[in-house]
Amino acid sequence: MKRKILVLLFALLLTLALICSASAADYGVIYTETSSLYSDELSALGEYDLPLFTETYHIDMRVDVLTSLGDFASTEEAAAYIYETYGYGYGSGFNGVTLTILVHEDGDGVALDEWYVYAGGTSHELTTNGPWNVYPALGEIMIEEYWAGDAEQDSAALAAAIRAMLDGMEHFVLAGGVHSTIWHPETGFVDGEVGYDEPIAELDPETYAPDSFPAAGELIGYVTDTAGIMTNDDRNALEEAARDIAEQYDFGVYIITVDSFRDHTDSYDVFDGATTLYRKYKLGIGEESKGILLLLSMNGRDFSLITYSDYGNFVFDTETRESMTSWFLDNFAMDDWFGGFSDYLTLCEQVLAEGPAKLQGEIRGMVGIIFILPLIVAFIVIFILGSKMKSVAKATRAEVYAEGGLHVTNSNDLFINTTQTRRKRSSSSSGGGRSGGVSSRSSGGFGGTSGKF
Amino acid sequence: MATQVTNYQCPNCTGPLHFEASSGKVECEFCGSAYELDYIEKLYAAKDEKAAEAHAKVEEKRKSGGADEWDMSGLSGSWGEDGAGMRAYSCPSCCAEIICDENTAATSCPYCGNPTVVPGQFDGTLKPDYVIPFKLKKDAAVAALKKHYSGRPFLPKAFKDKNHIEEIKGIYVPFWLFNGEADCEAVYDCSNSRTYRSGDYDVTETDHYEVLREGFVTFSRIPVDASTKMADDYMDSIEPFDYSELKEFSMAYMPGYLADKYDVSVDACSARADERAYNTAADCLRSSVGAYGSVLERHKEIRLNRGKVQYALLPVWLLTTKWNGQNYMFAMNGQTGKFVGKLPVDKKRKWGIFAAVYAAVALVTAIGVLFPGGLLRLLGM
Repeated sequence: MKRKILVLLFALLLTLALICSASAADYGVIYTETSSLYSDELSALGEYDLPLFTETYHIDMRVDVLTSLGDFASTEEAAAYIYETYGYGYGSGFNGVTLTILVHEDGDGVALDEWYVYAGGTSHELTTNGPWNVYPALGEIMIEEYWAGDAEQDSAALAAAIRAMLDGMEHFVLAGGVHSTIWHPETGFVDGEVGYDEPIAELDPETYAPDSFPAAGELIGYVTDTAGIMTNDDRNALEEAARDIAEQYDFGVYIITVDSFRDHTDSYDVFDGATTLYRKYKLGIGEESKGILLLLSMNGRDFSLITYSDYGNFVFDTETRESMTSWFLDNFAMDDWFGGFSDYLTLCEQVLAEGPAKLQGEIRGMVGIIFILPLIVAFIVIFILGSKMKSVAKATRAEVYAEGGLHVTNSNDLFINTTQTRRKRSSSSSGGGRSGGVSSRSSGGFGGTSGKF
Repeated sequence: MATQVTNYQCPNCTGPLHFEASSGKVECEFCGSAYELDYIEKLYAAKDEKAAEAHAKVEEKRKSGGADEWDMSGLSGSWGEDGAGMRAYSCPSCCAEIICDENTAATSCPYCGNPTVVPGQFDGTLKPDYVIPFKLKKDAAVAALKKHYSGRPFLPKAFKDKNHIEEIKGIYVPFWLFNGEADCEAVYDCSNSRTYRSGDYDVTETDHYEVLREGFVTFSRIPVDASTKMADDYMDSIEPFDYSELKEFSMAYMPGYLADKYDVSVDACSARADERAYNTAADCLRSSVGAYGSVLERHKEIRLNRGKVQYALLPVWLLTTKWNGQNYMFAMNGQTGKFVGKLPVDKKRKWGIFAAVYAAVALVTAIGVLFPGGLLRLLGM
């Protein structure tokens, strides 16, 4: 009898275990406590797409589908607990994003109760801004009508939600965080070490005090760091150097950093952002508003180097600007802001010092054209008119008297061989190759060179 | 012992052939083609035979005098009864010798305008084979001269007004008409290129060709004037004459016009005919090679085979005039009306026009260069 009871108990326990294990399932990095959500697509997402994203962008992507919150008051609490307890996160920074969903069984599928996107790790940018790249798209999918108790439809909704999360996070990564410690497009992953212990919110105001823009039309200094990427000491040193150059050469030399140039213009071109700021804050010296501005837009790591005035566009022509970018973009790529700006000011000073000599050379060239070209034209005209005065010349040909031209008796075109020469194409005039190409344009009296850093 | 060493060339690419013991064939060092030795020897034997045949032909022609000597068998000094109606005059000023029919009087020299010409003996001159009669009258020549003055801004106004345009004389100029043939051959190195992009490279591919052309050009009646008094460049410039109107010589065409006696021999004139024939044959060879981007002549050979020479009188209206102590001559083709001549240049007008053009272009250039670039603003203007 006892033996029979023991066997029964064991069978019962085993059955329970099986039931439990059948209820909870892992599809790679997708954990679900309900067996109602399953599809080949979910399997592929969990076993391939999400891990691939993780390895590519070094953000641990996870999905947890819960049927009960247990002791937690919300999916947010549950998400945070799960993240810490189960060791989510990539690398030493433990950076990651999870989608936590609370459902209950309904029909042969599930019904949606609650959901939360949790970002963990040491990256301030990720934890602050990452989920906001995901919410808009998820918000359209995580609605009751898509989770209506039909297993197939519910599984499709979950798959769509996961894809939306991947798209949103990819956008976040490629757009680049301001102080992203996760991904630099050109230099690759920085393993959560750079800046992660200096979240922006905790910057010492004694050291970093971001500038703010005054009202339009009010004057700003030569260096305006609204993005707060420079220490106060660095900014002051650059301001002094820029002022010295401006006073010596009667030409404004400006630096502006912003979080996003889109805050100042509707255009998607950073050049337009720079020109808007130049006009808005009446940059430039003298009646012609002579000046040069280097704008850094941190969110997208965009830069624009613009000049204004005839003299400015003359000394800082396209070739000069593109050449300058190849000097300071290296520094910006490594987040060496002070070094890059110092190079920029040094180059501006060099170009301005050579400006008068360049103008003299240009004048000599123009004078040469004004005097020599008419000389050539006048001689050509005289020659043509003079040739009309003499219509007599000895004949050296007799084609008129050749009956039928050449009578060909033998003709042979023999192919010998084919030769090939290969010449490597020189790189385009775009400099700053380390941060991708640059492009130049001019508009409204401005000349500009823009690109990524 | 071999008396001749022959280096065989590849029939495919003309590269040198060498005997390869392992294969028993002759192989090309450049393109790698291989041929049986028998085949190459037969090919060269055929070439030698062809060359020998050509050489024999030339020798035969040379012996018959057809190649290098002009055939002057048609020329005749016998005027017959026509000779009785001809008169001759000579000019003591420029030594011109003029003939005309008995009803035409030479009142002044058509070349230098000297009004005193001396009647002389009509003898010792060839009778022309052909003549092209005057088609255009003196009025047409006068009108052509006036038209010739128009559109010439360097022409001094005084020249136009004071020119003696009435002194126009129609004269039959003696010409040798040369007939012959030019045998020619040439070899060209030709190529076509194309360029395309492949990755980071610009690739240029060039196809090379060896082009052979052989043929002949037949020349008919290349005219060379046979008078030292007639400037060669003037006579060349009023060409061509329309030979469809060439007539057998007859005294009927002479009245009212003077004719010049030839004083330059066939041999002396033939060099000019040879030069024109040679150059034209070379041009014809070159123009037979088409559709190549680059054509370089590697070898050319042109052999002139001289044919018959004929003597003809061709119609020319002549005007000679003096202005500012200089003689100016104008000539008009008496058949087609083509008018040529050297006009005087008013240097003041010439340099005045130069200065005006210079000033205008300088002004336009200055505006175009200074204003758009803002250079004036840069200079503070």
